[in-house]
Amino acid sequence: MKIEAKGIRKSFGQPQQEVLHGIDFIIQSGEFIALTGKSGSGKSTLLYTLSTLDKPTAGKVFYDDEDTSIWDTQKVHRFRNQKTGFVFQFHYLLPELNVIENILLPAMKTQSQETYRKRGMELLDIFGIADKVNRFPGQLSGGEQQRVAIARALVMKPRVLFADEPTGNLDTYNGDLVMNLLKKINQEEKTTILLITHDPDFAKLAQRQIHLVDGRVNGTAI
Amino acid sequence: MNFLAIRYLLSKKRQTILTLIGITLGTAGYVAISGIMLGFQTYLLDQFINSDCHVRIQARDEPVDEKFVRETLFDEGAKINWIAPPSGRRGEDNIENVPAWTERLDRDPRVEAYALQLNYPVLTQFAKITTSTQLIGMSPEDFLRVSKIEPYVTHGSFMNLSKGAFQIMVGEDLLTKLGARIGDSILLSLGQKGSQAFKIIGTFRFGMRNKDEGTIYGRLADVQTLNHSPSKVSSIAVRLIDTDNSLEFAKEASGRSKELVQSWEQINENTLSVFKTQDIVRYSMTIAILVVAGFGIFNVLSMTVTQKRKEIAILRSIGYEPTDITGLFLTQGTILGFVGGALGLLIGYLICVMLSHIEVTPGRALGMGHMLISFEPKTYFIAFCCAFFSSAISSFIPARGAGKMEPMDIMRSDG
Ligand SMILES: Nc1ncnc2c1ncn2[C@@H]1O[C@H](COP(=O)(O)OP(=O)(O)OP(=O)(O)O)[C@@H](O)[C@H]1O
Ligand SMILES: [Mg+2]
Repeated sequence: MKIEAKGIRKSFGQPQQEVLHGIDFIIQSGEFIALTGKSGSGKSTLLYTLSTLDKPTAGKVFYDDEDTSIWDTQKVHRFRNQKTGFVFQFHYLLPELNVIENILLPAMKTQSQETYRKRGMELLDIFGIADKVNRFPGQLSGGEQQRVAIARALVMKPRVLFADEPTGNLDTYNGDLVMNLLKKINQEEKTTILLITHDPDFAKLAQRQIHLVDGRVNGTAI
Repeated sequence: MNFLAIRYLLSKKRQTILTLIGITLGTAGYVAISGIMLGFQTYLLDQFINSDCHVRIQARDEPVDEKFVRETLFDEGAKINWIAPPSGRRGEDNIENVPAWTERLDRDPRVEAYALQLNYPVLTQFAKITTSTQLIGMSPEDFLRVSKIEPYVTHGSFMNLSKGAFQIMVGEDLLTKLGARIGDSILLSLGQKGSQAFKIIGTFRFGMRNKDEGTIYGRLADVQTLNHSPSKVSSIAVRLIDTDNSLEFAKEASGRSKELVQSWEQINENTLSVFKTQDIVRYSMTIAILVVAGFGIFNVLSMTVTQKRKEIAILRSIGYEPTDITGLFLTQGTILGFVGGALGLLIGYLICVMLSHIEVTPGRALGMGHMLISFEPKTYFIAFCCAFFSSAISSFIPARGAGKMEPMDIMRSDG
């Protein structure tokens, strides 16, 4: 899925303080983008604004040339459910649900968990935690939890995956593991991936970097 | 989402159980207390309505004063000078025009039956024991059609009264008090008018001491004979086809007669007002309990919503809508209300069943010898609705709050 940002601005608070100062770029369908920049440069803010979880103060986001600002709430929710996946820095699994139930949570929204169960199991297999399907999050290591969270983000075969420092809490081994999984998904399923990372090595794994400096894009080349 | 709601409840067993206990106790308490109070009320009402009469017509106890004498003895406008103004009471306690009354009652389509009575306080004497009681003279055939007292008869039968002269039915407690047995004769005396031996042919027990210790039923003719007043009648007990007409009937009849006509509601006004107080106590207690249970749910859910903020954000980012999130928490509250209410009904019912088997001390038995408990469906319906809706309402506020949370606000504030 192609993502286009047109003049995105975002301000917070009273008095208004602008964090994003007009951002323009196009991400082609199937690209793997690393969003980089210093802490406080506005990476998370931009990511959530692009993902429809947050609204820009000015400017527009287009998906396959569709203007998201005119979508009604139902369409936004369906879009989030069917077309996007999220991975956060903290894995945010539901502790009351076991691994497979957590993974099928997006499918439960439309009562289609049975349709996606096979896909969920496959992902677990690829991620090397197929033996832990019935465990609860509290019985998993941090790296395993993050892999479950990624599997949940991917279970609906989303066209875009947003990841806000998914490796931030992991050691290098697990970090590498997660990055390679994302790379694999990007290549095999042509999922567009937008990833925030502080790690230059991980950033290099992406096809392209978008580097933010104080709320402005500063160089989009590798 | 129901599945997730149930998981949430199961994952906080302690909180869930404590909240359930609150709702269950509230509901069970209401059911049990209503069972006891309503059982007692039903029992008393049955006594008021069935074991006595719907409407009673009796001689008006009139004070004799200046106005009374002027109106009855003198022409209108007559000039009277009193040396001493009159004061006193009308001594006669009989109904003056009995045939007029019977004719009227016969004609009235609302009347099912009526019984003429002559009632007197008498001294009751057996061996060396003397006690005062109320002697009620009536014709058994008429009386049994007015008062459904057969269930309270513990020995013999009212109908046997008409099989011979000077026979009586007495309360069980009176029998005990006098130390007499069925078949014994006891002496009833009516002051200077003389006395007469009556044979005890049966007993009854209403479960109310004043009645069981102080009432004797005899044949109307015998009481008239004892009083040397053939054909005298002191009151008429009336049964209507529809009990609900009693008050209206009494007011109407009282308005155009010399006699005092009172419905069972008027006769038992004091007790009925106690019932009202009981009902108020019952309802306010329940409200208090349910408010406490409601607060319990409110607290638990508010806490859960706060604890689950991140999860709410996740669910929203996955595409769950605000109504899904509201539903998730509302479902938890209503499940608690439903299960707590249902358990409460069950426990309340079991308590009632247990209570209804409790033997009340022999001799002071209510009705059939054990506690009378009401199992009225309305009580169960009200109890369940209260539990369910108070839970639903008190979970609605935190649930709506959860639905209104924006995922971004949560993410930002939680890092
Ligand atoms: N709700 C808010 N109200 C006010 N200011 C905010 C709010 N959210 C973010 N900001 C500010 O916007 C700026 C960008 O924040 P953002 O979280 O996008 O940074 P970031 O690049 O993701 O940083 P990090 O690498 O530390 O996660 C920061 O200066 C932050 O203080
Ligand atoms: Mg950030």
